[in-house]
Amino acid sequence: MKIFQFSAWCFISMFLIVSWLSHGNTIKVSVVDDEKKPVEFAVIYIKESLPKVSDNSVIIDQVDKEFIPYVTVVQRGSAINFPNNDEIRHQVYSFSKTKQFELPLYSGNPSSPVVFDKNGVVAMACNIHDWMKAYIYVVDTNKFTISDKAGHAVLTNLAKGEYEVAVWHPKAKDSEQINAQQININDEEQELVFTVAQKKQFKAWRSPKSVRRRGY
Amino acid sequence: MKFFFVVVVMIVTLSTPTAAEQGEWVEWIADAQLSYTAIDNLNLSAFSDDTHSDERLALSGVVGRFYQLDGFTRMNFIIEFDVERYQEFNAMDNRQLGANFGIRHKFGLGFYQPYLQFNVNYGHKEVEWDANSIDIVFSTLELGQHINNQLSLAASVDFTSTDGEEWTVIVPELSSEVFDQNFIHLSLFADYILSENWLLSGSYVRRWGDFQSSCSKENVATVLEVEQVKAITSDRVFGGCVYKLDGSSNIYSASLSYSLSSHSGVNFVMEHYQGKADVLDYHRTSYSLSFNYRY
Repeated sequence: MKIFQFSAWCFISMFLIVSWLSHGNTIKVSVVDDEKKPVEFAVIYIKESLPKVSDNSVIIDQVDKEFIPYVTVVQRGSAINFPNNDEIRHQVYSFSKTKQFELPLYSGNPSSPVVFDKNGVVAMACNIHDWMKAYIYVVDTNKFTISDKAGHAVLTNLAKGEYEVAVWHPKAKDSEQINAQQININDEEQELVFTVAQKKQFKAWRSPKSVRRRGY
Repeated sequence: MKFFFVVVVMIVTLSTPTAAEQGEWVEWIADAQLSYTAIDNLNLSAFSDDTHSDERLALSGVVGRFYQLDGFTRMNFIIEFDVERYQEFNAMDNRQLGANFGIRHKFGLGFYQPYLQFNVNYGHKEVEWDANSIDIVFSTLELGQHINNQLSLAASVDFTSTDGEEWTVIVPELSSEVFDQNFIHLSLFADYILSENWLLSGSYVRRWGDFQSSCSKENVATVLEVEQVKAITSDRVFGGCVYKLDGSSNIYSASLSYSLSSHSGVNFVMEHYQGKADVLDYHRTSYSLSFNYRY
């Protein structure tokens, strides 16, 4: 009986120690624009340099002639798959300096994913359907997140320490400009608010305006 | 015969080696539009005491499919229909059925690459007043491009030919084939995205060739005196005469569209027609509100 009690105590103690050691701190982030309205699809990440990874589990889907999701963030070295779940063909391309690629007209799954091994912004589109547009943001860390419709996001599992938290958004007035804030992580939950001024940037018009078709 | 021509063009295009090797049927086309239009000077009379206004309800639809030849070229095969009902002048009520074949080529990869599109269309319009029933053939060549992420421009030229019934001869030395017409449109289009949901569009069309106008019996003498009338007959719709002229016209149009979703939207259009033959001026203005759906 004593042996059983001792074993139980050991197990509980070990569990508590491991839990305490692995406990990460979190930063709650809010992203708003100039008018204090919530900003969706902002990439929030910790500025640090980790070695590149070889993750190939990331997917950017194509459904109802739209890329899903609109914004994706990956660690440098990641490979992204571009399955086409529409019953038609798409032609995906990017002219961005960070990564130039083209997936010639295809349906289903392309034979191989695309590797993103350079930091920065990748703007991609479909050559058949001009309104299809999406962004990939490549960073040097695995601590990143994307804001939801309410402009909220959470960075989790952060160890104590001093961090620089940055934000990027496809409609930020200067998309290459990165807003950053210093934060000291301790046991308390931290909150950050980023204001990202937005510029006018639109996808090509998709809604019908007449049954008489012109152009695209 | 004309429809046969359209079918032959389709078959020849599909039979090319490129189409056979890489071509594939892609998305279906199924669009519908319900519109209400208020028209001032429906009869396009040149006399202010002789104009008639009316309201029109129309249901239009297209059904078809795209055929993708490669990453830059696609064709469309479409069947179109229109049904129009007038509030007062029911003799103008009509229904139209047509076929449209188009081929579009984009000059390269990327959002800013221009495109060239060619369309050929054949349709038959069956009007309540038989004399107004016509066969319509037109072809369009359009060049367009996105200028930036808000502005797109296009220019087109189209040739239209209508073939109607020969009706009652009322001036012995003049033809009564008012509804046989040939004209050319040179059009400029601009689309400007105001926000994610609002689109502002404008167009200017220069038209050369035949157009028709109606007037009361009292004004016919003036028309015959000052205009070079090509054809004239009695008009059952407005009660006077309807005649054909050769002239030039300017057509200005502005529209505001609101996107309800990726597949639907509402559209408000204002259009002003300004025609001139030899002496008289012909003006018409219309306001239209439509709901559009695209599959």
